[in-house]
Amino acid sequence: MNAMDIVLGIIGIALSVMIFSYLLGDNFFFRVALYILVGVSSGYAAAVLLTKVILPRLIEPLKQSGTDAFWLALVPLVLCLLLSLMLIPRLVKAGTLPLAFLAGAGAAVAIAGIPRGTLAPQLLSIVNRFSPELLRENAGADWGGILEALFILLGVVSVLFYFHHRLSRKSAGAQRPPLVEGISSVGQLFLGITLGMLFVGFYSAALTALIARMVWLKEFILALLTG
Amino acid sequence: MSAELILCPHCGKENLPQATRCVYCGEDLEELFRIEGVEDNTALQDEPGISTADLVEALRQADSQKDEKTGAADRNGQNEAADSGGETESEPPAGEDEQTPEWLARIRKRAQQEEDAAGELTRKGSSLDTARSEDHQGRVDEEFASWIARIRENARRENLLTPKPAADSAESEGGVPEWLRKVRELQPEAEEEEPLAEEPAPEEAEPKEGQNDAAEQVRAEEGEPNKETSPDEDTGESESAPEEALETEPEPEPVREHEEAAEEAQTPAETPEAEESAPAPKTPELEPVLEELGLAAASAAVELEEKPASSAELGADLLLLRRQKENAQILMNLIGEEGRGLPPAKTQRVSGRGWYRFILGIFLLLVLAAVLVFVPEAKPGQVENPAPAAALKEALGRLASGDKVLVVLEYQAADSAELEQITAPVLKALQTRGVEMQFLTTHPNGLWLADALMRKADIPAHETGFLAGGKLGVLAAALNPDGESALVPAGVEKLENYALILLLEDSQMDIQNWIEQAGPWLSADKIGVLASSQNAALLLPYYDAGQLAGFAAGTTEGRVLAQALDRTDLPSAPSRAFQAGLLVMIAVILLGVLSKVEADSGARRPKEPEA
Repeated sequence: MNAMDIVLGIIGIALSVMIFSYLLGDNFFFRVALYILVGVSSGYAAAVLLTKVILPRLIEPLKQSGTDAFWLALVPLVLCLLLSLMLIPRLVKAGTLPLAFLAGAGAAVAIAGIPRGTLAPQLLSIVNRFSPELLRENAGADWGGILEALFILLGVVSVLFYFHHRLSRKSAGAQRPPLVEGISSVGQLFLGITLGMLFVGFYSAALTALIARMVWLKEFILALLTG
Repeated sequence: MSAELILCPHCGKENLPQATRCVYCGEDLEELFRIEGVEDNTALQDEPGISTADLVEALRQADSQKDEKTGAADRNGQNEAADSGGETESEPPAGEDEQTPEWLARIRKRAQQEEDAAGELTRKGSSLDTARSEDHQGRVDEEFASWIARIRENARRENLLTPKPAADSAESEGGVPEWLRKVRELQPEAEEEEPLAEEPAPEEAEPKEGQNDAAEQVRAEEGEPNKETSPDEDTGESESAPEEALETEPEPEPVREHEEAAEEAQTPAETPEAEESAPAPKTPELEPVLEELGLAAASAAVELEEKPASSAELGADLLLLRRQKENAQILMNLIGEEGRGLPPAKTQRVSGRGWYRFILGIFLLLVLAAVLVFVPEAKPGQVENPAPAAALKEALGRLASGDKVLVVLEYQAADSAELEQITAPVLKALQTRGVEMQFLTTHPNGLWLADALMRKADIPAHETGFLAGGKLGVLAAALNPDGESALVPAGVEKLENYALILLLEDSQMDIQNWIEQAGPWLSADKIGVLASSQNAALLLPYYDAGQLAGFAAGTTEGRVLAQALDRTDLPSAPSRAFQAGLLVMIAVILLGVLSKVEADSGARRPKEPEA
């Protein structure tokens, strides 16, 4: 272990302790560590974008005057200039054009992708479990698959019931029929199980990171002690 | 008819009375311009200093003299005015007669005879204006008086409502009255500037004595024993007759009477005579205060309208002035704060919660440290892979030497420990099989995280491409038919050319980007995911829908996957510490549930007896 490793290790321990100080509440040391993290991340991201995006894709084509790349690079150049004009308070409106372009393109891509990549495939996966062709191919009923599909269908319908009638009850304030109340309770149960599983996943990820950090601390201290 | 005609002084012919010139000789008829009783008006023309303004002024003086005399007659009585009115009106002052020229005396006499030289119509108009102005002034005075009375009443009520210290003697140190001390408290500068105003002048002391006499007179009428008001006299009396006071009355009673007497001595007597004779002792001291507050005129009006009858009223006024001053200061502060930014809102912290959090955190850290230091690591048991992880293992097993795999890094540094433990065995296995790997990232952090991952997996370093643009970049990569798009990093081919696209993810959004933007353009078994444990639940529907070749989420599945790939030589996370951490969390959740149930039952108990 050389001197640089020791210095970096001590800095790492100090930053870890500063983050752990959040156990005492929001304090100065925690905020300092947080600001360092945000600042370093932002600076690194800016450097990466400058070297990986702006220089090769905007500046380099502009050096080749008269080529197609040059004329194509003028479009992002103008958009960048308009966006940078937002730094001047009087010219904030000039940045609406590139922002509108970005928002419109992003929304169009998302709207086209969600039905194609998420809604349609997953709806079809549920519906296909009741398909007669599937029954014919399996040479009989796959009762396990059908039960699983029914369970999934029950979950989907009950959760939709829960959300829909919860909103309608809030707006109208009327008493719901017992059947609707029962289905909504089942939906609430499904939601609880899902959220519990999400919580376990988040806690497991955080616990893994914490254990990894503590293992690193243990190894660093052992290395210091053993030389 | 002939009597109405006038004779021309020149030709003696008869003319109409309205004629200005004689119809016979053409001369002016001078009688029209002659003042009655004046045979010759040449004196007016000969007098050099006489002008129209002098005439008007003379008429006004005559009118004013008449008004003054009328007022004097009103004051002296109707009978007296009737007896002497004619003489006084007709006889000007002797000295004035000597100085007044003869022509002016005649004019005055004529004006007095004809009531009003300004005319009947003018007199009515001016009297109407006078009546109006007097009526208006009266209304203004009434409203002002009622306004002052309301303010005093409010101040008196507030003064009664506010707690006061025990009232001691109205006169205290050095015989300084209470109201004067309040003024000094309010205006120390005025006290320094006008030190003489604090000292009661001899002229001011006399009315006090008069007040004392009045108070003694009232007291004597009520049958009370005579009490001296000044401190010296009071002391002398208390020394001269202490036994009498002890025998006749209880001890607090003389004190109360003394206070009352002192208060009466300080306040002006309420009898009309005392009001007329006693000067207002408060006005000079209050003037600096009122002038500074811009209420000098109002205070003057207050003084004219009504004088405070007691020190309590004066104290109420002083409190009112102080409050006005404070309100003015608040208003100035508000104006000064105009345009400035709001201070940051301070969040209310619930006391006590921080300690619970601190204790739980320290407890978790101590448990993990103890397990890491003292508990030996157990040999991982043979665990059956879950279906998604088994599917991914099969997809990896189908890869042969020369196949291309695109490894996409999309995780943050905080999750790097977990992702590296899952991914490193897989990359090592692919490297061993001779699979050609390309690295790509959509996050800037992925550039250096890829280097750390390669070191962890113990594989040769590869260049990592940066795909900018988020989901737009992913779509551009998916729609890159010939692999020559300028938006895609160099070296990245058409996605369909890769045998497997292995996503290293800790974010559901990034996974959806690849599945939604690139998935529809790819075969169903092209995408495999190695993710953190928090994404396991969200990946299942995509796997069930056949959109993923398989996935492994979390260190547990990663360890099982490494066993399946025969890569157990790489260091993995200590499972004992992980299990201890899960146990601590389970214990905390159970404790939270129990405490919540206990709190709810405790909250229900007080309501049951009421029901």
